[in-house]
Amino acid sequence: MTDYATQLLLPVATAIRPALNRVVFIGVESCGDYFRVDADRVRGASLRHLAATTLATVSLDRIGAELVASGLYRDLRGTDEEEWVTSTGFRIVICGAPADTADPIESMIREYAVLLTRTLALTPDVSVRVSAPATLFALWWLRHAKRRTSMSECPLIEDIIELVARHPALTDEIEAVPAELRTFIATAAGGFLADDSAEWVIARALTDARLTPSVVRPVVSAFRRIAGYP
Amino acid sequence: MLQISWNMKQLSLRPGDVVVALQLALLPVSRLEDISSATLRSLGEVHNAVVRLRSARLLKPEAREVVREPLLNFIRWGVPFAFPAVVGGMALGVTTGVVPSSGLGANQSANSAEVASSEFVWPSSTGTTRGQALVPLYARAPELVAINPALRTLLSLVDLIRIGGAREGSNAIAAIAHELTRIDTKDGV
Repeated sequence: MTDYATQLLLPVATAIRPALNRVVFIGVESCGDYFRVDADRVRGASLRHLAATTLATVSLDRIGAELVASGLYRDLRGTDEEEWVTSTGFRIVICGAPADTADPIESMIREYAVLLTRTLALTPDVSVRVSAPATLFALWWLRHAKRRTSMSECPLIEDIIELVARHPALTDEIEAVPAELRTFIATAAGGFLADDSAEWVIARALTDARLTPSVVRPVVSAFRRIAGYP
Repeated sequence: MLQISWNMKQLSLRPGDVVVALQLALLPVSRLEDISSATLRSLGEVHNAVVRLRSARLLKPEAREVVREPLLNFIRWGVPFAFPAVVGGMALGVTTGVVPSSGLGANQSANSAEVASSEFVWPSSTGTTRGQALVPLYARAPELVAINPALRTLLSLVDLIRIGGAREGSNAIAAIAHELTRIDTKDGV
């Protein structure tokens, strides 16, 4: 576990403990265990400023009542996600459950994000469920697409690049996921590569690319493999 | 046919002009001598910087005062491309490229700032931090630690925009705006 993840996830997980089994963590801050330690550095990140991002497994209203009882307050309420603040000032974003969306593709990805998870032990007493890397790729791309921000200014795209660059097993894991999810991920990777700023965005996300531009190439190759290109 | 006179030339901002602009954002309508001593730049350099900043419409026409929104836009969207980060090997120096713990406590100076996961320094013989060398916007920036911590904090954030990605950029520009607003509030502006 990286320090920033422990600093953010542990207080959040402790604060929402009664509802902890009703959420799955889906943010880059919860991916510390997925990232290969000796991999290229990605970004001069200030991840401390992230909110912990989660996906609800039940309706937001039901979780909301439990969070209020735990002493959290709701700071923002969107159509499909809410932002809550713990009594110690940490933020948690809760995205709607799979059944909360009318979009069949989004619903499918959320279903898999809730089903395909790994357990991350923050302390011997506190564990959280983190969505699998392949579903994170799909979820982050989906959230990027919904935001309609440009590729170069979307932090979720940088999160995807970090995942691809620092989790070498991702390509194999994507091969193993159900076909409908794999198809979506391949289409997303292809869409990313089709953008003419793709390599520029990768180079900017990889801190070491300034001195060693060749570190971009393996990441582009990984995206190409995910997209199913020869 | 319109001809360009021999003495007409295209003005362009220089990296050190950003420093003067930020100092003027910290202390509007300062005298040139004050800006010079606060930024460790010569009087002539400061004067020329003011002329260039005014031609770029980042200063008000009649006053030595920055127009804040265009300045923030320039720092966010212009500086990383006009003055791209030049990085080198590991060096001893002064920490840069960090967000002070703003949002959670923005009243801390960059001295107590969170060190980013990949740490950059302005190479300096007086520095105490080891990190990857990042060429500062102007040579005497490392000396600001002792004489002008507020400006040093802002320059550190500008560096974060130069070296970071989308998330760092938006965090850093929000922190710069926050720092400037805090100064306004403190001064009762």
